[in-house]
Amino acid sequence: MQRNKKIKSLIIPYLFLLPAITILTVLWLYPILYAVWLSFFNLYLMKPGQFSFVGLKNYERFLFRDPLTPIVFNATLVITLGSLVLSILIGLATAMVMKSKTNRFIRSVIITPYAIPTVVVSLITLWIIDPTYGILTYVVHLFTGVKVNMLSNPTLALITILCSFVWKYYPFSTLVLLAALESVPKQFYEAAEIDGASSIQRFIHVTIPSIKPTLLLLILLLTISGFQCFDVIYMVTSGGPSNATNNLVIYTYQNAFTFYRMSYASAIGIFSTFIMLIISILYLRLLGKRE
Amino acid sequence: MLYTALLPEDYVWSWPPVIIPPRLNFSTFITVFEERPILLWLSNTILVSVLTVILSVPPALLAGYAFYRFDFRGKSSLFRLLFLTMVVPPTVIIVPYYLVLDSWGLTDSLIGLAITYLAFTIPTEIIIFYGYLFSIPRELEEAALLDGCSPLGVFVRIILPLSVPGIIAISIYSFSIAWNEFAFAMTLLRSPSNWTAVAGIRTFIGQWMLAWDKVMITCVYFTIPAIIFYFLTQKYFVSGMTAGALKF
Repeated sequence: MQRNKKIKSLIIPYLFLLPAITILTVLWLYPILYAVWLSFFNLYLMKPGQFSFVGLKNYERFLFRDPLTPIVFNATLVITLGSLVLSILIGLATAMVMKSKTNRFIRSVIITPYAIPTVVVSLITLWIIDPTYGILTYVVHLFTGVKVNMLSNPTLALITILCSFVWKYYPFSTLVLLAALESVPKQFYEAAEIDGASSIQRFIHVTIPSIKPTLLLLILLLTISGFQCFDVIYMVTSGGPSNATNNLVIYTYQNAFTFYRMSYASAIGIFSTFIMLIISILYLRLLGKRE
Repeated sequence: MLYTALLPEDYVWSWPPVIIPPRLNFSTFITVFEERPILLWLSNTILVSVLTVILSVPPALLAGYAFYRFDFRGKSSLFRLLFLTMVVPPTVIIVPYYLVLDSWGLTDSLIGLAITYLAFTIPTEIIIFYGYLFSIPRELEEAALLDGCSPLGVFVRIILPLSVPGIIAISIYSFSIAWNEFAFAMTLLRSPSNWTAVAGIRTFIGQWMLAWDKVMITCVYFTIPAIIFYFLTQKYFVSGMTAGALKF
């Protein structure tokens, strides 16, 4: 009887976990292992029947022989870091505004972009920068007399992507930072005020240290989402012009479904997962050490 | 967006762009339905989103409770694995899905699409629900256990009724993921009659490049339900999202 009970209590947690674990094994782990396996072969849907083991050749080709690799890495880095910095800055600014103004209308306006589907955000972007009829084109034309085509210049295209990506996702940082800001005890600010701290000093010495743990986690989450930026790029530039906005995720997709190089795409995908995994683990380690 | 949608056709292509249109044009609201199966795409989207919620929430509830209530071997490493799922870019999994689902006959099917979303929604749902459970007093569970309730009984009779806000939060989370998802929808759904809203709206680039009034009107149709839904559920959505982000 006693033993029976013990066995029962050992098994019960796993029974609760069973459905989720089964689903995630079939739908998450299996596909990843499949992708790893695929990356050692040469599956190319344009040549049916070709399927043989090539070892690490796909990885070697991506790292050393593909002329696009440096460009892709550069785009990934710019988009990830750019969206990270912009989201934090805008998120922090809007969170401060929302904290001081409890006006529901302002709050709603600040968060609305998050409710708009990404594809719609991309279409609005395309409309604003439309080289013939867009509002932005018109405003720039008013001041400079030139009709710019944002998507024909690599730098401008990157800026366009960054702006629409950040416009869609900054509310996430706003909400997370707002929750952190609201949990800072009021007494901290009052004490600082009595000590004669200016509002800038209060921000640097009270606000920042209090929300630091949240901020550090937010940085990781934003890095991951910036690294995985796909929808906006696919809709607005598809990686162009001359691959300036072609990041690792888009390049993976392109190889798979534009060029049908399934194995090569898997190798790129697995490699980028590996990079992100190392960055996340190192970052979390650093965080753990400091705390 | 609304503004362009209402512009009369001849003003859409005016230069300089008109700020205040001299007259409003409502006919595009109707004509766009004749040109594209917008209602069908919308109902497909709703179907996929609802399916995702129904399939993903129950396993997530059970697992979230297991992490919260029990101590067992491998608990912390399993929990860490949940976070790792976020690191893998969805595009990595698309290739295997495309090849495997094809052999299972699940490409170009809305059920197949909903199933693929489980891989992304369940881990986050578990984390959000796990965080939510801490707001439920533990004494209630202990009292039920003393009264001879089985662990499953405690879960069904005590935990579930008390965690309705948490269940709503994770349902909304998975619903909005499915509603917005783009890469899988456009890759796995081939026939236009199966397209979700995002997969359909994508085809406007190119074909309707210049018909901004029609593009924007369709955007209005796809955005309004999302915004209404969002504002109705804002309270749960925000609390669920921040809880999920902060707990980890």
